[in-house]
Amino acid sequence: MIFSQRIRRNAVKLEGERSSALDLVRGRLVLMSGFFIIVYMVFAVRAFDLAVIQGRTIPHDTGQITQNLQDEKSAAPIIRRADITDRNGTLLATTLKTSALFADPYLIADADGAAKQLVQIFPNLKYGDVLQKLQSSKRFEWIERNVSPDQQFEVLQIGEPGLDFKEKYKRFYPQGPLAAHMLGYSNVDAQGLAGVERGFNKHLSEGRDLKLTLDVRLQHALRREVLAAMEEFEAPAAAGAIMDVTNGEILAGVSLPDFNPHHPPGKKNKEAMFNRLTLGAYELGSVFKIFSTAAFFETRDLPMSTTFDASEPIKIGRFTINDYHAEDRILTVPEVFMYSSNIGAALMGQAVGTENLRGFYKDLGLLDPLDFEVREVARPLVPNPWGEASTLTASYGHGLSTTPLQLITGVSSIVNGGYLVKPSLVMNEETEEIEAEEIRIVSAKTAQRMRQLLRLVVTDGTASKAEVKGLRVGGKTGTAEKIVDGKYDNKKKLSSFVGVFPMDAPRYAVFIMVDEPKGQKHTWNYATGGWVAAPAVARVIASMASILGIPPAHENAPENHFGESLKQFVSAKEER
Amino acid sequence: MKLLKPRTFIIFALAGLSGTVLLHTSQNVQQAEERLETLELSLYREQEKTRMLRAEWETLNRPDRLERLANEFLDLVPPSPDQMTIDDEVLPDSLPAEYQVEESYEPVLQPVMFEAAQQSTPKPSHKPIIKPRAPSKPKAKPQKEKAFGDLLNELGGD
Repeated sequence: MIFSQRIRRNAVKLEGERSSALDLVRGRLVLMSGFFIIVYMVFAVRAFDLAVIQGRTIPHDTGQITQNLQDEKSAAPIIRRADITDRNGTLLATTLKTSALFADPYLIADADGAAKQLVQIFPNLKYGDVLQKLQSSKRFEWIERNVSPDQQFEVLQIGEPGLDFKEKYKRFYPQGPLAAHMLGYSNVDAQGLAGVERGFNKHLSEGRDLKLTLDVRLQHALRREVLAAMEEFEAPAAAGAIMDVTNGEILAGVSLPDFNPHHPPGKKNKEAMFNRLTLGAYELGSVFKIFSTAAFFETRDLPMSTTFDASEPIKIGRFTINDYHAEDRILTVPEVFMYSSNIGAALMGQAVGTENLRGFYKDLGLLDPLDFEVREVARPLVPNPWGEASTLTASYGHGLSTTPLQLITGVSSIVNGGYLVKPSLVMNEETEEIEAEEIRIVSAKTAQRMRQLLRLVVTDGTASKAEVKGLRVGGKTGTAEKIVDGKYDNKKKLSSFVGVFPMDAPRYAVFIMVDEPKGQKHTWNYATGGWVAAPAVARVIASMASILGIPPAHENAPENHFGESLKQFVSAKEER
Repeated sequence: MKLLKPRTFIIFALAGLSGTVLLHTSQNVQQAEERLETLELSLYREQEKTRMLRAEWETLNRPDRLERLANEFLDLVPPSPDQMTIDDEVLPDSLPAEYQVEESYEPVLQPVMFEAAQQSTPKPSHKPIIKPRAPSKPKAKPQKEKAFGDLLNELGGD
């Protein structure tokens, strides 16, 4: 200011051209000093901002933590693998962030102080151990494997540069092995390798949640009973499924032995990894009589009283067809079914005809690989060429291998009134309306007859142990001999039972199959479907009734007498 | 030339004023952003925590665990069909007198004064109507149960 005043004072004495030149210079000087003043003011304001305003709002430590968390947030995989739940929203698979705390002792500034604070954060750690680790000469020491987000925050607040975290997203299955074969598992790179995890890998990787048709409660009941049957009969393996017959939704699916999805044993234990329900193709035996009998009614509209001569074994080619529960007499259709006569079923198959029977099986989807959401499905082993002998054996479930899931699907399609269902494991809530096109597989009349026959098997036939009071269970037993070295081995059996209830208006189908059960004392050494699988299915159905709240019918209620009209076609038992 | 015409002065003053307002606004924005960031982060942390807790909850509510605990601590058995009735004719017309509620009963929320340390606790006057059957063999298998933390550790740090 003094400087400019002096110039101004001098300027008074000057005139003319020189005066205007000085004015210009003075103007420039003022401009320059003004500019500097403004710049310094900006600096001052910015300094005030940094030191006072921002210094007050952000504590020093949090700045660092914020940064840290920011990093980890942005470093996270772009999309977290989505959750899988059951039909009621119970979690079956989720992705958790696990943090593990490690130390780089080289970078530790204050080992003693850090150790003290760490012990406070993790009460299970010992001060001495931690201090030893922090002072070791290595560059890497695990401190704590599993750190919660809160603990992590506290550790970061210690502000020790030598403490750091390794973070990973891990797939977690809260239900453990409960539904391992249906759910499948995924690897460390979050890629599904089996089951739904594989079938819907893309969907899940995109972070879209998945809702399955399974019901954890039913799944547990089924697994408990299948396991109990397997242990009771010293069987190496077993499988089971529960299906809603009206729409093919799988409510439970079990294959035993199973595995821990957190540590799938892989090739070390192929037995446990093998999904018997969808990947195992078996000759399932007499349960197939459901299909051949339905085909019989469908192609030849004959009355229930039609008879078949089951007194003589049938010889065709190199086969001889015998009865297991031999009656050695002429049987009506209900008798063939309830005593599970192979001869009778073979004669029925013959009456249906090769083309018709094969066509019917094909329509039911028994001859082609299943179209299913789990990709591990087996191709059924179908006789090729399919001659007359194949027709006869296929009528009672031999010479033809299918997966248990195909069987229960086929049974559902018949008992639900004759509409073809497709097995499904994933809930589709939106497309429920679109499913208007229904494919009829058998007539309503045939379906009704089959319901009565199935009920008869439980009330008077081979599956009396499947009865649950008031729930009108119906079903069919199956006891197939396994093929060992190309020959049927009558010691090694595959015992199964498919139960349906309530039989007057079927809603659920339950299938249990036990592989190589051994006869026990309390079963008089029997290991047939009626002894092994039927009681297990009855226990599952009893559990289902209480879980789902299905009321039993009153003793005198008309539905409790469903199917009794068939008894007129059953002649009184002589000795059995 | 006069250096500071009133107009110039006003312009400078306006510039200074707007600068101050700008600074103030920018400060506000900055603070809001910081707050947002903190909130987002705490939200993220809470979400992580919720996930973890949900997983733990589901682990603790596994049907097999509940069943085992129920067998151990409760004398409950699944109702058998003959314990149920859907025939309302069988039911009595009215509740026994001691269970009956006055017609005009309306629940009212009112403060309750507790008396200090009453010695005798009132006992239910009635025994349960349905006596539970003996629990079906609880399949005594003392399998060691893994805590949720152990399960997580199993997932592993490496």
